[in-house]
Amino acid sequence: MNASKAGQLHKMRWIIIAAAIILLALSAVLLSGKIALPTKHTMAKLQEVPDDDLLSSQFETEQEILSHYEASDYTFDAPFVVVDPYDLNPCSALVLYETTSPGDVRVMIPGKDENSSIAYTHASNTEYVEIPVICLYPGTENKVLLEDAAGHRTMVTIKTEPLPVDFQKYELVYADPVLMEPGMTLCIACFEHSYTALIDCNADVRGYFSNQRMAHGTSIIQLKNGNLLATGDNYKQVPYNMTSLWEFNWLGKVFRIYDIPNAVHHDISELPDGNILAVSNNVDMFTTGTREDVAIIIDRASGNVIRTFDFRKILEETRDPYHHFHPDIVNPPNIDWMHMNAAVYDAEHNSLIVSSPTQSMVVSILLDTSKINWILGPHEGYENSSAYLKDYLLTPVGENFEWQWCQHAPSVLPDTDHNPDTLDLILLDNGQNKSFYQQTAVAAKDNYSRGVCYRIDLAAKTIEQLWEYGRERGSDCYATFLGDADYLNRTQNRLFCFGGQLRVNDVPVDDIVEGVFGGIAIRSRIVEVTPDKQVVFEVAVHENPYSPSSETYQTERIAPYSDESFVSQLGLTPGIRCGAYDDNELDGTVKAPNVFVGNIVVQFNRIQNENGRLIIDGVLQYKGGTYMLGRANVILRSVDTTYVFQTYNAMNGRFFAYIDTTRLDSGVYQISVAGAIREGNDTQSGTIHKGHAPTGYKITVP
Amino acid sequence: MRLIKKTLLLWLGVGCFAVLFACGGAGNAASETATIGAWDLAFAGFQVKEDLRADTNDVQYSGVSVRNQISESPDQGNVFLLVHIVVEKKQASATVFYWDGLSIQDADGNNYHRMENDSFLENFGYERLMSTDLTLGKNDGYICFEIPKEEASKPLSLCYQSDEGSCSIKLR
Repeated sequence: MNASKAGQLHKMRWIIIAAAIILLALSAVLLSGKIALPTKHTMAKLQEVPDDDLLSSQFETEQEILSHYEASDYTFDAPFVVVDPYDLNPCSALVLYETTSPGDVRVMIPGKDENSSIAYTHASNTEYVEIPVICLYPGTENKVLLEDAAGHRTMVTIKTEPLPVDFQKYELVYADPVLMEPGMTLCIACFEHSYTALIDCNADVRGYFSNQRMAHGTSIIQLKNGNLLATGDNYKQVPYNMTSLWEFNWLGKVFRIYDIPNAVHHDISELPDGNILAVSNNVDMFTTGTREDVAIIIDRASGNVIRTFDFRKILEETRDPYHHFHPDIVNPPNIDWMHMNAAVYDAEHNSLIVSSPTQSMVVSILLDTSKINWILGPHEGYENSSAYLKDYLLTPVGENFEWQWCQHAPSVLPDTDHNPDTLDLILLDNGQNKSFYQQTAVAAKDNYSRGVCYRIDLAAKTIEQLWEYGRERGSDCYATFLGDADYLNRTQNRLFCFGGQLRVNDVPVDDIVEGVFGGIAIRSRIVEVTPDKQVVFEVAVHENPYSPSSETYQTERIAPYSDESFVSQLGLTPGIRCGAYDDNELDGTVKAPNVFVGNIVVQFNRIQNENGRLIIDGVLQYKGGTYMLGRANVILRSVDTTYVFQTYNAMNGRFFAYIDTTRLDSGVYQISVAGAIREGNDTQSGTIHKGHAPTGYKITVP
Repeated sequence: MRLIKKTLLLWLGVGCFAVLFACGGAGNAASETATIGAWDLAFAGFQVKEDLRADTNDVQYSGVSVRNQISESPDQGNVFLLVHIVVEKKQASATVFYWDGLSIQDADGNNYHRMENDSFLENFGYERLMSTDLTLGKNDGYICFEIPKEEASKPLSLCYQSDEGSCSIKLR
């Protein structure tokens, strides 16, 4: 062998070694899981997104209850009891049995005293009987008394779950049940870390929704058919813009889901024709640059949005009062200039009355033309582009008049002066700042909130203050944000909810954003007073070691039981879905990365396959923390095809995705998230950290 | 040339290590099932905790890190025993799964019942089973017991007794 041949062999040997090393390195990279291109091997390791559809699962539960019920003989004296049958209200139960003496059944749930005892008659005329039992005490062996049509009585013991440890604390300050409006008090949470609860005159919890994602941040109403209507549990935007309404009863049975692509927040009401008036957004709120400035009417039968009232076209979105509602974000992509928190139908004047707390305005417009009738609010700050609105401002008359600031929950009072030219309103005047300008703003520690009744003379365009309560309580009742004011028909009492009381070391502060993010405590106070301002019910709501959040968005005095709401029988009527989805679109601006890189991690609050609709509620984290500004794209990748979807991005890394997979090619798709967080509070500058993270999930498209 | 050889050998070593590392796997939790009448009781694992702590760290726009800490501790000298079980009603029947019938038995024959309120489990990321008696369905989640610390390292059994029968599943 000559020297050149030996040299060639030597070279060849090294080429082979180098190739082997490259191959090994490639294999290592492939096996390390950093390659985002799926293979049969990597797909096999992924978990399929769980199927979950509320209406189907509720119907399956009903059938399962029936199958177990039918396996044995249950009687009036020994009935079949299912606690919390729909996994929504742990203070409820369903009692089933056969009887030979059909007829109405009297249900009695003894309370701690006569005033907190509940009794109702459930209509029944069949041998098979389903009795809804509601308003049970939590964590208690409730002794429920049933009396059949023949007068026979039986005692059923129903044990309930204890309250969750993070439940807000209701402290009864005072109650005079004789003078109170009858019923129980529905306390609606504003954020998902509190519970929506029903309390009795002792401030004891007698019902609550264990699903904290639904029924918060928006009023809950009792429809004419007795059912409840509240927001569902899918977000379009935090903290309470929800993409559906649920019609349900206190057992938790959902009769109807209305999917609302605009999303609903703050307020809903039933119109005389049965349609639903709701506070909402532009359907494309992420491109219009504003939010919470639209009222909509939803057709009750189809669930479709049939009218929109866009207040960008009615008021002036650049008017910029001083207030504490906005997070300190520079160049915000979505400005909440109006923060509409109420929409009320004024039947007598065929008008729509809406409330903007950020603008300290209550505005009436004609329903047919959207022309402004009047604006109730202080006269400060109507200059330049908003000067044209001065023409609609009401002129105060009479003594002891005070304007409202950052108000909540205006509603029309009964007509007591029988003058067609006047309109009486009640509302909660939060009183935040009591000024348009920062320089003259009143400090929280010196401030007060109040419930107030006004009389508007529509012809003279004047306003008079009729009544108020709260000023005399000082900071005791000061709530920077949230709240409610209700006129109670039977007693003419007024129920006020001072809903968002921000406190640091018991001293009032106005830092709404810190409160919303859990940095400081949010408390609340519920007060019912007679027309002569005698307190007949007062409850202080406190935080607990698990959650600083004990806010109450609104309160309602309700009669929880309604016969009409419990007429359906198990296994006969599955809930129905109507309206329209607002699914995320493909994102053509983002290319799916081929490797998993960066320190971005994704956690899911929810991931489910709802009949082919992939629903994701996730959180982007960078190096173990969440950041105020971020963006996520969901990537579905099969062996053959890749789709990159937009998501709805929210603060602190939260994002929501709704993907209609039935439009995709058949296949098995790996799910990953490409995301980025930005340091600082400026959406246009600040260091960006990007990444592409696997999720461990796949979804199969048939 | 020697240096190149060494470098290549080093890379070869790194490659082999990476392959071995990537091929590593995780063990499976032990599981055992007992049938009592219409009910199947499956044990899917347990954890012993001196306390439970959760810590979230949210970096705000201001750059300030908001740290929320929650914790739950047993009585002094005790530990939490978190037991993951699956209770499933396999046949239609009138029978109920009573929590009062379920206990942990230690090596000395002492019995411990489920804590009266273990709803805090949810706050620490554990899917929890409801504490009302079960009437139907498949119920998969954690329940919590409080037992003496010295017993936690000794043999433990999950026992269930009802009118339909009884069973005992060894935890360790």
